[in-house]
Amino acid sequence: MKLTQAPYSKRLLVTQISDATLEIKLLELGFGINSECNLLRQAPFNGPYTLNNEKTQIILRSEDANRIEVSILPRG
Amino acid sequence: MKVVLAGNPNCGKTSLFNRFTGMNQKVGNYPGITVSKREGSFTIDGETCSIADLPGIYSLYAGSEDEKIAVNAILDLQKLENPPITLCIIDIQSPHKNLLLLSQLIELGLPIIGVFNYRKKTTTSEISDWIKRLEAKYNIPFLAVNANSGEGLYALKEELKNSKDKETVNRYPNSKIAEFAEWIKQANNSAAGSHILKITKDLRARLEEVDSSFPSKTFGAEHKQNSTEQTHSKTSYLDNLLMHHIWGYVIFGVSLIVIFQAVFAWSAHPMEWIEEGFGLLSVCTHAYLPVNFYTNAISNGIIPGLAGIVVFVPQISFLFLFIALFEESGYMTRVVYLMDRLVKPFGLSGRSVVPLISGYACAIPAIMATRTIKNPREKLITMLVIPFMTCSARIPVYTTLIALMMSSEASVGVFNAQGLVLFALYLFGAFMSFFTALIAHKVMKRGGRSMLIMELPNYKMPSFNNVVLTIYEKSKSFVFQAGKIIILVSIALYLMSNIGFNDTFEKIDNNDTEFVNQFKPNELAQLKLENSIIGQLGKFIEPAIRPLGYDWKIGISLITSFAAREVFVGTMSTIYALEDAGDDTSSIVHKMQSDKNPDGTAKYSLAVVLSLLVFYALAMQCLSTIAVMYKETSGWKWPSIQFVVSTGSAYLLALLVYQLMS
Repeated sequence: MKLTQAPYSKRLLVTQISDATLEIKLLELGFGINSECNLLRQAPFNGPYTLNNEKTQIILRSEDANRIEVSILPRG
Repeated sequence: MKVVLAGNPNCGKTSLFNRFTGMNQKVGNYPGITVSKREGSFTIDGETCSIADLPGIYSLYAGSEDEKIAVNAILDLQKLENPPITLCIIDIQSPHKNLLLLSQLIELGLPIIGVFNYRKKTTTSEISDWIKRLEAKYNIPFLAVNANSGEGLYALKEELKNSKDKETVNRYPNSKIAEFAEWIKQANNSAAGSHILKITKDLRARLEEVDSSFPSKTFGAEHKQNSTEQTHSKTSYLDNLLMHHIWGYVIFGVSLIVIFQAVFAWSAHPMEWIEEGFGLLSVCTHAYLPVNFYTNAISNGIIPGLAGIVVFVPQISFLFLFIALFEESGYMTRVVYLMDRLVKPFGLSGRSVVPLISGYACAIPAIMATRTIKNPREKLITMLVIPFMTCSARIPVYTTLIALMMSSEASVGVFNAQGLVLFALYLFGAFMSFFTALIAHKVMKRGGRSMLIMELPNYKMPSFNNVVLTIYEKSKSFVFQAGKIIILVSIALYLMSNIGFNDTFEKIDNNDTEFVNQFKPNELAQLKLENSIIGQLGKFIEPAIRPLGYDWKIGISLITSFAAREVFVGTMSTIYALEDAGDDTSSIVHKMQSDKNPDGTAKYSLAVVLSLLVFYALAMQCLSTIAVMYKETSGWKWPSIQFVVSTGSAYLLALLVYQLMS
């Protein structure tokens, strides 16, 4: 599913990023394909999302979040 | 010896730079605080070493202007026969991000020292084991320092001394990074993107092993609770509040109101003291120095001119206090999150908000701060509209003009009426910024895709030293930069008002008793000023400004304000001091209030004051802003458009206001 459709505060696995620049920028911050992350919140009026992993918290716009495919991981 | 500092945003590079050089520079908890290369020097055993601090980058793949500055500087080092030693700073709290850049720098074949920056004291036994492993892996020296306290700096200097004599070895002669560097140079090429991605992925994968070996539990074992985790939970608790979809905006709004009240109400007393101090100084110079041309130039020209600037230091200090607190604490990035969607319809990005808010302090650093905006179109629109934000240089003009309209005791409910008018002017500036941005957004050609990916740093208690340093630095540069202009303008004004070429001026200057006796002393002083060069200049432009309700005296101030708008008050102070022949030391507001038209009505009527307020809110009256726009846009096109649009709309709106009100 797309990151924008993913539920909040669930363990997510990044499965695909459909934009090279976006993927490089996410990799730099430690959010590559096959990495785990959490969707935390979204600013009002379809504003940016906040996303975190164990080490880092980032914000990204919804159009970029739309380019990221994730799957839900079982609790663990 | 030359040293270069590179590292991720917010990893402590600039703190270390300050440690090395003692040179004061702003450090913020907001990615992109260093937006240009900073240079300084320090000594090791009497030998002077130069050091450059580069803007923070996560990798050699640059997105924004500030990142390009850093990446280009690093790629240029590669071409040198003896490249300087690069200190790659790694925040020990998040080595996973920092090591990507380190591995790229190492592969470039540059002489590197890895510097771990820690903020809290920790027992480093496990860390040092890890460092040893890294040293073995990368074959470069690693050290740990505390950039805030300076701990470990001595050892680092020793290491620099030793490294100086070592030969540069290109450790990876066949490294893909050389190829990578080539691809980076053509980063806009879409094929390059996939190559860069491939190499970045490769490097990242190689780092997984290093990442997993990082003794993250060390902190946890040594301290009851992992300090990083503690900061994280504090951060997430605060984020729940400060990034809340309602409370987040309420808190941001309230903090803006507090800033305006502080700028106006809290600084009132210190401003009075400064004003009285300068008044006293003027009286003393008159009383104790010999009566001659120079004494008059000092007491009637330079002192009133300088007083007009120094008096606003308390207000500027408060403004920078809040901006520094926002940046230092990490709150600024939360503002980006809250505001991005709201400013997007205007062609701006969440990253534009920080430069726009900084525009409340000064347009020059604000325009430079737009380098963190990745999309060129959003960057240009932000730069174009920043000068409409109410910069601190407008405060002297607004305060003086507002004081002409109403008494300082007037209030509306619990609010001070002058404060409310000032607040309204700030809103007007912001409105004009967004309105102009909207027009530019509609008119300008669409650029490439805009992207906003930002790290949210953990909140931290602002460092007292850094905040005080920021306030000191900014106030000092305001006083000195404006002061230089003010002294020159004051001297020029004094000279031009004491030289004249027509008959009337000569008669007064030669003390022609038959002519002089027809007038009272004050009338004579005004007549002399009116017939001096500066008076004639004011008279020359009077036909153009008469429809706005301005006379030749305001005309003189308008001319001088094009150097810098705050010069208005200094010029008015000088003109009225000259006119009163120096025997009236009451405040400039009082003097302006008692100035009458020939028909006995007040010269500064509500219509004139409002028209002036509108003019000063919109006109592009700052040479430094024009210069910085020229530099940032590499040409005269945009500064010229900006100047014509701002000043033209200022004239038309001021005209409209006066004609409607009078």
